Parts: sequence; C-alpha cells; structure tokens
Amino acid sequence: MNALLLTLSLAAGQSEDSARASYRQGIDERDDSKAARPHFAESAAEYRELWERGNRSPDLALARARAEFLAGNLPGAIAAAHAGLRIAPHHAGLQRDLETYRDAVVPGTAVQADESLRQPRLDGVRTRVGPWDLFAIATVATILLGLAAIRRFSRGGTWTLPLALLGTLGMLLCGGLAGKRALEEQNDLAEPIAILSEDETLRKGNGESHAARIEVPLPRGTEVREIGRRGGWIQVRVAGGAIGWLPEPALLAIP
Amino acid sequence: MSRTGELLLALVAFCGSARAEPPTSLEQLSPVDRTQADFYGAIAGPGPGVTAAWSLDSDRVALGGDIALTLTVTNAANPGELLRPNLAERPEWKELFGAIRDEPAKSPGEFRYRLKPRNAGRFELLVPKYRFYQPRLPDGRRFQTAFVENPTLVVDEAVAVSGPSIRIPLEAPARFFDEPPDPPASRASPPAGLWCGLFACGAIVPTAWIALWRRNNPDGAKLARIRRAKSVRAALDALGRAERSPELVSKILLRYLQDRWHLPASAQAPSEVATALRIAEVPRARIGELEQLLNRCDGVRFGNIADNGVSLAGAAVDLIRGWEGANG
Repeated sequence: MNALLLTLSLAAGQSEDSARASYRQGIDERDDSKAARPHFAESAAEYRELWERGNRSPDLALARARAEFLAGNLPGAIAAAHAGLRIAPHHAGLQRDLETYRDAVVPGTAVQADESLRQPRLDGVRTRVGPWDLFAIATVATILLGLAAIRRFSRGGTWTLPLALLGTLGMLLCGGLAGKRALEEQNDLAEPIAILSEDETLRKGNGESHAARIEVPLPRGTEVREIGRRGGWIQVRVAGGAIGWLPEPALLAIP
Repeated sequence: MSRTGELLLALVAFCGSARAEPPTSLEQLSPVDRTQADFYGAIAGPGPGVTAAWSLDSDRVALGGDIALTLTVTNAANPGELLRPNLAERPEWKELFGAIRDEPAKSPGEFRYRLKPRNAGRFELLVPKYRFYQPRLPDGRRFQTAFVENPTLVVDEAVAVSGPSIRIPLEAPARFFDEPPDPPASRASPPAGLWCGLFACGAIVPTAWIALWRRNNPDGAKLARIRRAKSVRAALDALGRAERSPELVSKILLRYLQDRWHLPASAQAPSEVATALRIAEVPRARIGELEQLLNRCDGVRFGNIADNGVSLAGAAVDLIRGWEGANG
C-alpha cells in the first residue's frame, strides 16, 4: 500500500515538473504566439491530468487556468479558475485572473445591451472571508474568552466582563460567517456553473426548433448556471436573470 | 358636376397617386408581409430587382484559421433597414464552423461574418434563400427570390509556412509570464485537527491556569469569590489606593458597611456605628474589632496615636476579608 502511494506521489511530482517545464518553454517562446501556444496547451493538459488525479489545490488551478488561457482556450481557463475557486473561493490570485478571463469574453452589442444576459460578478462572503480568516477570528476570540475566564476565577477584575463580551462577539461572528459560507456553498452545488465552450444561441426550449431567447448567440466563455436537463439540452440561468436552453455539448462543466 | 361626382374623382386621383409611389420602407408593408420566411427586409428600388451576392475573402483557409464571408445586397430602396441573416443558428452551418461571429459592415447593405471551420476538406456553403419585396408586381407575386450562388471553400489540413513568417507575441498580463506557482505552496483551509486543537487549548489552558493558581494561592480563591461582590471589590481596590490617609480609610470602611451591612448613613462616629451594627445583630466580637479600628483611625487623624495609614489600610483589608469569610 505504501509502495503504491509512493509511486503515485512520485508520478504526480514528475507530471507537475513536466507541466512546469512546458509552461516555462511557452514563456521562453512568448514572442511568437504560434510557437508558444502548443507548449501552453501541453502544460494545461498535464495540469488537467494532475487535477483529475486528485492533486487539487488553488495554486494548481491558477497555473492550469493560466496555461489554458495562454494556449488560447478561454472557456477552459474560466472553467479551471472556477474549479480552483470552488475549493478556495477567497483566493485573491484566482479572483483577479478570473476577472482577466471575463474581460476577454467578447459579447456582441445585442448581448451587452440586454441586462438579463449580464455576466456574474464575484460576490458573497466566501469570496471575501477565507477559512484562515475564520480561524484567526476564532483564535482571537478564544484567547479573549480564556483571559476573561482566568481573570474571573483567579484575581477577579473590572475588565473581565468587556473581555468576555468581546470574545463572545468574536465567536458569534465566526459562527455567523461560517454559516453564511456553508449556505453559499450549498446554493453553488444546487445550481452548478457551466461555461459555454463555443458561440451558441440561447433558446426558449430544448431543441433547435424553439425560438431564440436572443437572436445573437452568446459568446464562448459565457458563464451560466445549470438548473435542469432534458433530452441532451441543459436549462440554464444567466447571472442577469435570463433563463433558456443550450445544447449539452456546447457547455463545459466545472471539473 | 354634382358633389358626389367631385368626390369620386378625388378618390380616383388619390388611388392613382398611391399607385405611383411604391413603398420604400418596411413600415409601409403590412405585418404579414414583414414576417415572410427568408425575407430580410429588402424592398426593391427602381430597376430590375434586388440582387444578393455571397463572397469569401479567399477560397482557401488553413484549419485553425478563420475567414470572412460577406453578403452584399444591392438595389434595395431601404438599405438601412436590411436585417442580417443569422447563420449561427443554421444547423448545417454550425456543423461546418466552430465559430460564426458577426463583424461590423463597411456600408449599408453589406453584412460580414467571421467563420472558423471545424474540419479540413472542400465545402459548398449552402447560403440561405434571399427573398425581397417587389412593389411593382401585382399582389400575390410581390415576393421574389434573388438568385444567389453558393460559394465554395477549401479548408487545408495544415499550412506549411514558407519564407519569413510574422511573429505575433502572446498578449496577456505580465504576471502570466512569471514562473507558474508551486502548487503545494498554500493550504486552502486549516485542517480539522487545528480547529480541534484551538478549542481544546481554549478549554484546557484557562482551566489548568486557574487550577494551578488556586493551588499556589489557597486564600486567593476565597478572595476572588468575595471580590465578586461589587461593594467589596470597590472597597478593597480603594484601600489599595488609599494613599495612606487615615481619614480615607475610615471613609472607605463606612461606605463598605453602608453597602454591604446596611449601616445607616447617619452613623458616622465609631460609637454610632457600633450601636447600629448591634441593632443589626452583627456578632459582638466583630463590632469590637471594627470600633477599635475606627478609633485608631480617629486617633491617628487627630495625632493622639503614633500609627500610620499603611497599617490602618492593611488592618481594614484584613477586617473586610474576615467579615466576608475569606480568612478561613
């Protein structure tokens, strides 16, 4: 068993080195996009494989998303950034990169003009407060409560009560934030994000025969939330509120 | 001529003038006409009729590249009102091209598309029918179909670039060209063990501290208990800051007795205090001890006794602790 784990970790290490080497080669060739892109594509494929093997960390997602972007695969980059943000929604690097990828999505003027097709923005408690922040708040609150208890049951003192109040407030804040984060996570799971891998028309029903929700197709890289499936079509909700159907092959699920 | 005859002549003249001015705008067509299939809003101007031509910028493209397709509509009376045929929603076009994007036109009556083929090969592009409205024809024959030729596109498997090629640098924020971050550099969240450790420490450390302190200060626990009463705590703190003043020591003691033992505010002299406490059924030994201390305070205050405030404050602290039961 140990030998198997060792072999797996060695293989992961080699693959990671290989992905980094391909990325570096791409950087070396950056003055010629035609020559650089295949290296980045190779790097992205290796990072993707690592991710699928379970080596999931926000930094791996960041590297993978950048490799996908530099390889010219914008939907892949957005999907990878979302995959990283799913495990670390507060990761500042991933958030900043996702904004860059979103800026690269070029909607037509008709799509831009329609407020119901507006793209999402990063919001919610999870994108601002990370688990380490919660841990820091809980640590301070625990220290305050501990000091208050020590003071109360030894020498006594006038500042025991404010100390205990502050500690209790810290604990309540920590609990509230953790609860809000859990709720947001649950909502995310209920309506998972999917990325449009190619330009596609948003339809009013699950078939080509149904009328378009808007005549101009949604651009590749558009982020939608899946709310249902039927007959090879996925019912989606755009952040602006528009609801429609898109063919399943045109959507990229978050790995 | 009669009035009816004049009206009839005017009506005929109006109809004649209407016939002479064919519609030049979509608004002049009926809603039924406007929604005809394959009709993109073209109304024929003077001349033979509307012409529509589809043309590619080049008849060859390498796989992975893209090419521009242009539809040019001429001889329409309303070029500004023409609608763009939506190629992106035609299944046969979606099968051929991975991306179909609209591009801005150079002039009215022109529509440009940017196409990206999916596969290599030779393809005849089946362009949509183009119908237009010919107002000069009789009713029922006014919708005519313009002749359009299907352009042919050859998609090459790979392009062997010969000669000097143009090098286009990759465009991305500078941080994208830094070394890729080391994946295990950061942990997304604290491990569960750390949380357990925090809460365990939060419970164990104060408990251990208090137990240790009480073990080393056996009287401290009792002192801590009596200090929980606000008046006792205030008296002990005030005696600590009493600046060695006998008058202040006696005032603090009286204040403590008023708060804790309901001594009337009128009892100020040692004998009055003793009488009031006797009525309140405080044990005589304690009253004697208190009266003695108050007399000492008065004695030091008026210079009758050679004592100082330090010993008085200490005696007052001992007295309070004794009364509160902290001295055993």
